[in-house]
Amino acid sequence: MASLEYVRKETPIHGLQAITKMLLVLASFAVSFFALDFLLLGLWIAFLICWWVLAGIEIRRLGVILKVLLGTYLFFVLLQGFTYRFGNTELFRLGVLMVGSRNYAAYTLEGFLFGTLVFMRVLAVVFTLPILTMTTPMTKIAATLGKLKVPYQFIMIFVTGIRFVPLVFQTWTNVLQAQKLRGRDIDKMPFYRKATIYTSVLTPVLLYLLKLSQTLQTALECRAFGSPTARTYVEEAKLRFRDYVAIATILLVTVSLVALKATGYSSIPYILRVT
Amino acid sequence: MNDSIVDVQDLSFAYPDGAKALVKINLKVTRGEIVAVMGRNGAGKTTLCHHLTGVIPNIYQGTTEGRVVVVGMDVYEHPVYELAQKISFVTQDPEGQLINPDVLMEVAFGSENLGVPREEIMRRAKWALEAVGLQGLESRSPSELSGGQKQRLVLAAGLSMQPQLLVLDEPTSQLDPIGTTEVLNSLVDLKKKYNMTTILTTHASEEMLGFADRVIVLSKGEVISQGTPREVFSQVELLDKAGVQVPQIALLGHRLAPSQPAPMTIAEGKKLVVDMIDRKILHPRAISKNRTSLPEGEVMLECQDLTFTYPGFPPVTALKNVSLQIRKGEMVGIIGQNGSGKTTLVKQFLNLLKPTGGRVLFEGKNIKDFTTGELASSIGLVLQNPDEQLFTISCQKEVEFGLRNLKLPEAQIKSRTDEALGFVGLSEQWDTFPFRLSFGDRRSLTVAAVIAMRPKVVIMDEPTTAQDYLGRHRIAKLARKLNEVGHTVIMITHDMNLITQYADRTVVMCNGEVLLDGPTARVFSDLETLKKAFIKPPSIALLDKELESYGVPQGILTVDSMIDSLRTEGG
Repeated sequence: MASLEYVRKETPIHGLQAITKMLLVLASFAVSFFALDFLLLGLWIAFLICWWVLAGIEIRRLGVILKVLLGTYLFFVLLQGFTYRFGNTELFRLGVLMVGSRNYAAYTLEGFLFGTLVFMRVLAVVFTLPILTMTTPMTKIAATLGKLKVPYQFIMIFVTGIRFVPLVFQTWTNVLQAQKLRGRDIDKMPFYRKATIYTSVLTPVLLYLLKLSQTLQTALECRAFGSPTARTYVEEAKLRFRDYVAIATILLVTVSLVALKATGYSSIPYILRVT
Repeated sequence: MNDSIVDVQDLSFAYPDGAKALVKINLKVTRGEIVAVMGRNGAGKTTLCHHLTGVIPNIYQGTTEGRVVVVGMDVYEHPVYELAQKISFVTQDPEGQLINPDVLMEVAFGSENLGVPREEIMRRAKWALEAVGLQGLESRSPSELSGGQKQRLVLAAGLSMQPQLLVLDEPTSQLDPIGTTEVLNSLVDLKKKYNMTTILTTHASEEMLGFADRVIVLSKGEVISQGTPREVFSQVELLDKAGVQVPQIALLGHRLAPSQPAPMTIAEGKKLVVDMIDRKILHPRAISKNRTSLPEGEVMLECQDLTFTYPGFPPVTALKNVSLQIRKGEMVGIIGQNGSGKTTLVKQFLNLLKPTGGRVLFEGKNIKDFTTGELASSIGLVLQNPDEQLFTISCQKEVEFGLRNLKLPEAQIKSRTDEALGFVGLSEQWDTFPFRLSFGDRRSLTVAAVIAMRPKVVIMDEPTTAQDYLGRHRIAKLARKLNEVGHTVIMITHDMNLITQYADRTVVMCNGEVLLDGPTARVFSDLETLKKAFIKPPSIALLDKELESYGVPQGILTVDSMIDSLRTEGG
């Protein structure tokens, strides 16, 4: 989570309203759903990378996310490589594991390509998240949601949730450290044993969260949260010229890619089209 | 014009479990007053604050008698959001009160909820941030602020709702001396500029002397004394019974001349002592109580050019080439302002953080070759927050937890558990659920759990935070007792009175470096360097400096030592 936190900078993307960037997220969902194709998804990802460059997003801040993505990619290509039901072109085999007429120990080219395609779909969506969260303060996102008539109680749950996630992680780490300090040699434990000790970590974490929620309730009520008066939003979410330009660009690219797919264009190799 | 802003009449309150928290409280506060409410933990201070802000009965319930009218509103007839427009409430933990992602939004939040027009909110936010000295930090995330700044931000967030009364529950308990000064100065400014009324609860007697207009002492839910700080702090015996620390100069005055009005300031203390020396009632003499050299035992812990940088954007270097040796049997105090590197340093001793540069040796061996779990049997570290260190369903099981990890035989586990619980005075509560204990007892239990493992070195990180005077001394005495039975003890604290009373050696840290290191008396005589580390020596040390030309021996840090050095006639 921490690596997706807002980074204060002055870039063209930071200057855009949250609603514009939320539109980009929606467009990403549309493209990944309606334009499942190597070239089309590749173009969309390239489009998103341009946004990254303009937003000055530093790759090093996304270390954890990139590792997770790499793991996801390996998972997809491995799983699909061995299990893709239309896989015919065998690249290698680990042995023989016949289920019906299919050898599930054989890795196929079609499975690899399909795994890659599914991963590109995931990437098309995930790549938009840093553009929204790392260039937009949470207050602007909250104000935009408010303008979109999302009830403020929901917005508050979202904002406080984001705010307290690092605190919860910190408590989790502190409790683990405290257990190590009492001779529980977690560092040397095998993975399956580590999993069993987490119940004793959860108890103090949950008690801490209960205490925190009480403090939070008091703090919120003492600052008039829940007042029946219509709320004012200090953050303004008025669209400016640059937002209109960005929205036009997003719509143009999205519509072009989806339309291209709708007309029957495909860069997917013939071997995959049987799907 | 002074008019009444708080009117509490015959207020009694009991929590749903029957525990009486307040008994027949009567309290009137006039506009512009700064009132300090003092008393030991559990005396009823927070419960009183909850009544003054409407948190009771709106959020927490219980059985109440009497009437509470604040800024013209009966708290039993108004919801908290209405009261909040006139009363601002700040609790001791700013972390749980900072809700928004940046400073400006935090300050604007209350006014936004009240539907105040945008321009007015911006005007109020600017005013509130200026009032607490946080202007220019509007776009910062609260997590980037120091402890003192966070507490002032919570204060500004309340101020922006333009309250007439500030109610602050131990606002400085987690702050270092500089953070405490920042917050108290802000309150004095608010009084001067806006005639703001403040009611705060605190354990900081010394700080209240030049700050509060009135002090109220609570004991078991009852007001047992109230008046000006001078009037209240003169009642030494009463305060002692109520668990309220008497300022050092007042205590000295009371013990030297009980029949005279107790001095409060260093100047008054000096006048009293000089007068008694002139009248030959006191005879300054050298004492040999303070250590001026350190023991030469074997080295237990050693840091060599230790550097540590927290990764991040940007990275933060918390330790810079720290070299330090801790010898067997020492009782060492580590002091320094928040963020000076104290906790980072002790975490290196147990491999909880791995050095970026340099190394740490324990009994000559590099600790990087051991896991934290392995080191824990030799080095015990009690962390700051007891609630993160209690994992089981009873005090007994809590102490057994570490012993079972050491795979000791059952008989030893039992004997060591009984011994450790007895050591901290929790034998009777052996089957109590740890979270049912008081805060002070929870802290003692974490100490018991660590000492049961019989580590050679015991490290206590801020063991006195949020503790009353008696609790602080109880923990410090425990540390001293451990030291006397052979443990090497390291204690981190902001409480200079404790350090000067209990630590033989003091290490002063500032910006990740060791600024001073030596026998406590010698360290506290270097006032110039202490100033650089933002450390204020105890009043008695400052008085001692003032008395140098009158033949009073230097390096005196406690009231007892001062009295020893000023032999009375026939004494």
